[in-house]
Amino acid sequence: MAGIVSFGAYAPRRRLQRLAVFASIGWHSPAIMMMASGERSMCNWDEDTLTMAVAAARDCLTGQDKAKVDAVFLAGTTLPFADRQNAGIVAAALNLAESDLRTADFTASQKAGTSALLAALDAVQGGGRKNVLVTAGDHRRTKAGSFYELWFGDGAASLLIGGDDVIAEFVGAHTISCDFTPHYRGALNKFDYTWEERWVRDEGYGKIIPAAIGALLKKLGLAIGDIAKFAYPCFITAEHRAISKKLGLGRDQLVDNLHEKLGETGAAHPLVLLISALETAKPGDRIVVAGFGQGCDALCFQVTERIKNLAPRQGVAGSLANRVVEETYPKFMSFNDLLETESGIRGEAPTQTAMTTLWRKRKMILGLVGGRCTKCGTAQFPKSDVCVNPACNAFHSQEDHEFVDQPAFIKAFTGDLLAVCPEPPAVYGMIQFEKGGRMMADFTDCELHKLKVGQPVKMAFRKKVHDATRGFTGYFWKAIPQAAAKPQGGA
Amino acid sequence: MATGIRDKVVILGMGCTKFGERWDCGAEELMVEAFEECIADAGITKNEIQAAWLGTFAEEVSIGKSALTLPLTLRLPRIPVSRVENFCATGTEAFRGACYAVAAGIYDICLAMGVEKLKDTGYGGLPSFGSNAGTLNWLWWPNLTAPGAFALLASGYEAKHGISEADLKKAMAHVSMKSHANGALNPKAHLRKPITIDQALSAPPVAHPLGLFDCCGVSDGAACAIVTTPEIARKLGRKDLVSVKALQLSLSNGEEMAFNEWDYDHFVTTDRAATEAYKEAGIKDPRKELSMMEVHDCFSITELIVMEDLHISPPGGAVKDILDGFYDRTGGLPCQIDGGLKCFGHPIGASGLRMIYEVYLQLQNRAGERQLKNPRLGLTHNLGGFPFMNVTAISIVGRHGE
Amino acid sequence: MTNKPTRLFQHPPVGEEVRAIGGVYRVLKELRLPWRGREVLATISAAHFDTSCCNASGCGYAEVAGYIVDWRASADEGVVEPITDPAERDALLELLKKTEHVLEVRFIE
Repeated sequence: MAGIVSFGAYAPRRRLQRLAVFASIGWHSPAIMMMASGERSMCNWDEDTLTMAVAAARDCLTGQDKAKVDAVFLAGTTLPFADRQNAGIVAAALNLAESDLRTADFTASQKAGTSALLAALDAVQGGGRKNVLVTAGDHRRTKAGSFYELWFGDGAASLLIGGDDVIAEFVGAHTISCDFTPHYRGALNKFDYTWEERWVRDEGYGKIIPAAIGALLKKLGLAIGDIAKFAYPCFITAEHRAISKKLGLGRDQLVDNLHEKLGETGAAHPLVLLISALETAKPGDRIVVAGFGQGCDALCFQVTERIKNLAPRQGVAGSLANRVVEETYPKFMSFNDLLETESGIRGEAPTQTAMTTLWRKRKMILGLVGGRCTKCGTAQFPKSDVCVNPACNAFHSQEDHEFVDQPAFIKAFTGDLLAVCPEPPAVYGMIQFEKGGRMMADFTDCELHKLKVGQPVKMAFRKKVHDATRGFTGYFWKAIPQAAAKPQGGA
Repeated sequence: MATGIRDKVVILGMGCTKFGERWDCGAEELMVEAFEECIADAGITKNEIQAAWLGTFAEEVSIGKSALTLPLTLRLPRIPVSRVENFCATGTEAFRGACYAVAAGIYDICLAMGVEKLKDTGYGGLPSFGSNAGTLNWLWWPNLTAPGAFALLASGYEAKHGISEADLKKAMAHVSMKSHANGALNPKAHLRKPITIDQALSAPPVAHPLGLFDCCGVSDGAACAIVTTPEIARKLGRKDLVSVKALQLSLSNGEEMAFNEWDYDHFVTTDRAATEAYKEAGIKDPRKELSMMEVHDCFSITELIVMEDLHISPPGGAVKDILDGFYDRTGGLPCQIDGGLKCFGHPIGASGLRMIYEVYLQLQNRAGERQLKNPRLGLTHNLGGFPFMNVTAISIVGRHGE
Repeated sequence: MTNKPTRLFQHPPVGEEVRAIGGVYRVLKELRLPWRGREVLATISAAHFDTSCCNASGCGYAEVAGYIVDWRASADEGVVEPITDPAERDALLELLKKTEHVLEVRFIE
């Protein structure tokens, strides 16, 4: 029985206020006032599609044995690399075993998320794979002052697909594939080129989604009333509702498109909506999810009793709740490269990453894997040939030791106005892992004046190196200070 | 059995440029300026120098690789010259090389030159090396600067000793106020302006909780020394010799940054180097025996903590000593008589030798308005790198034979 | 009047440049901010780190002296009641960041 074993989600905590966008650029784009309500999520300057996809995947693996994952499918239309498998970076960040692991990127269509999900279900049903981690994210570039800037949000969703212990059983799917093109983006272009919204609405969303869902239900011999929830994207909220009327849905059957709180998260969005439906679903509920783009994938799941046992996680509800209001629109412009900001001559320092070094140290850098001395038990980062414990100093004694989920706290911190940083001050410090090990780390998603020595931190996979000259993005782990303070000093 | 450097080497002459934004000079001209003072002071001719050591840190933005700039500039007679670099200990390292060569009996007269030309980069501050800082460091080190890395000491020190940030800031302000008062008396200082405690406390944040007056700046400058044996110095007619009592170096081994014992509250290397230096110099009670100190006050917090790691103030006791004025020019153990890095700026390769220069002047009663009464032993201290991974250099210089 | 502790506050030299080796700062203004039925005294300053040890930078910052008890007790001093309540500090911090565009807000004790 193939289906969903687990789910996870992630949205950056910053919520750009649409009215603030309008207030800044409405003089240029008066029409966007129509959309100037609610908020959309926006990536921090050190986030992108890949970091969000990793965050959602980690959330999805909460309480799961990641050693059982034998494939990673990554979906998104804004993946950082055109040629270097992005799913491989996700797998490395999760520190999955490299042998007998399949990885693949699903991209170039807004339905890439549901297509990855379908491929995962096929792989499990066919018996080739046992547990496929599907993770999808998007951080879509838009021009300043466009409707799309207000419609879109940044976010990610992840589903673990397997054959055992499913919380939602896969019932069936129907796909329409056709070259309907609401927008396109040439291989070397920064922005989507979008066609008239009225046509996209009438000929695209309005016809193709109902056709796919209709065909699916017919195939499964189910009626609209047999389905508890329908989760499909459409950033035009009026059309989102119009489709539900066309399908004849009752008031409670339509899953909110999250326009007011999040914005549309591209290829991840159908999965975000599916997860938001799962979070309130009861055993027995059937959920239909659809992804739209060059056709439509429609899938039906039925929730099982096991959903009650799923370990607590952030999910969509938690991601929506973790928010800070952002009203400085130029910050969004700067973070999204819509504004050329001054970073001074010092910012011109060389930014090349050595592939040879990265390959040797891939576990350390991408997976935050350190060492644990087999002689004295000392956990240490990085792993090295000589144990750091002065009472041991054994040579070649260390085994791999994962630090990502180890409890840690702030040992010392500062906010630095001199370090070149997109949003000064650069906040960093020394963090210490409770069961051994420490490191100097950048902090992110925090306010300097709220930090205290002893405060707990969690690790997050973030952009570390942005090498614009070579088109390379490098990643490492940063510390995110958590709310509750640890009741001890630094000593 | 090794016996250390004590009294085996004397300083025959020293020179030091005016420090500052020397738009008029490159590294070459700075070296000439320091050298002319030094060779005149030594009373020898250039061709009597048998070997030389050149210290410079950021050669990428000034002289380039190798030691060649020194012999090319001074037209040295094809003698051996080495270039050394060890973060902020670079100048003292050049001095150490020259002294060791003399002490070993390999050469009679050696030159140590430290120089840094930083104001050809087009921006304030040390160069950022980016990915050139090391292919692996680049991939994981936080986006840190020196002020930030040292600022972290404040939170560690406060937590360790139960001292409030407000009290620590007051002591740091006193550290700055004292150095600026001293620097105002020094014609070679970059900045010669006394400041008030209020001006220091009201200064903007640079790296929390360090403010503008807690941080040094960069300058251009050069300083040098010619060293020889006591016997040769006497033969040259020199009296009241100034000799080297101790030269110590200590480097981190990675425990601070990876082993959970250190509390980001002090300098392990300075503690060790101080112990070794006092042993080498035969000093039992440094608080009483030392006459003056020039320590690495890159940041006020560094100077404050170093007072403990040099075993002058007890652990957690530096704040009190500083506020009591113990390290003021008129206090029990004057510190930064010349104004320190706060007033000189920090041309890295030159700083260590600049500190020794001040001790040398004081011991010879040549320090003008800053002159202390009857100084006998002076300590200099450099700290290069970051609190979690660093290089400490200590020199102790005093009257020969005492 | 409350019976909370007060202290003397020295009015800073507005407009005067203070030079350090790493940069320069200047008090832009003394702000008398109406706040919860009273007046708060804050100093707004700006800095440029043009010769610091690592990079050029700068910022605007506020120093909150406290509630004004006596604006000018003598030629250059006033009397203030320092603000110590954490919640009150947080609210003032947010307000000053928003209205005065400062990067840091400090409370003088």
